[in-house]
Amino acid sequence: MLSIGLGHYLTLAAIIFTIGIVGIFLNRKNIIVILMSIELILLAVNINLVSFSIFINDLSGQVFTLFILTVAAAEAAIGLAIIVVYYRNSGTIRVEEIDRLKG
Amino acid sequence: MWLNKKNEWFNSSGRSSHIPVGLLVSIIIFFELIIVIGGWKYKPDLLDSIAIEINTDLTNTQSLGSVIYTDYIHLFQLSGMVLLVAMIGAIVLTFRQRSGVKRQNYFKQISRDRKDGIELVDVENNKGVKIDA
Repeated sequence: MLSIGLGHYLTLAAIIFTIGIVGIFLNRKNIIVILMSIELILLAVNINLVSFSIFINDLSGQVFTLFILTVAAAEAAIGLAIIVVYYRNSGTIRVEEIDRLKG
Repeated sequence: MWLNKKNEWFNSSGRSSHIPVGLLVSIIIFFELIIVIGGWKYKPDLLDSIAIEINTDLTNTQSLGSVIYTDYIHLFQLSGMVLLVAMIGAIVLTFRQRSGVKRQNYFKQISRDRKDGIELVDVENNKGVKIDA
């Protein structure tokens, strides 16, 4: 009988975190996909916090998960608003064309 | 275009030099995480340092509420402020006054009287009336 333990949750969080990193690295076209990848990374951290909170029987991890979700929501709202404004000003949101700083 | 019909966003022809680097870095990070998980142990005095112990008599929602609204009330209010700032910021960033949009003007509608609306003109024969728009 396979029982799901802490290691499984941590592995899931690691996989999701890595998917987020891959999404940021491999994507050169779509800035919205980058925002979604950042959200994935935050969610992986949330999974870690909740699983440790359950396994050491301490509630504060879940409390902080709620605050992280709040910050993620705020970040998504501001990020999308910035994308809309940038599209109005420059006419493109493709990552490779956002090179005004010539970095 | 926001959403190109040709699916060129995910078609990475011609600029694939970053893909191996990205994959390499991702694989390294993934295996680092796996190694951390595999070699990880409790610190023995961790279980003594529990801040808020989970009470199994209550439901999860109840115990979360009893903590958030008491011990973490300042952080809770602060996260509310963060959301408010995000909302106002999004509205301020995306709001714009468009020109050339016809809107209803209540005051103008209500304060209109007969003098402004109707004009009686004596029309000369065969001349017609010139109407100013």
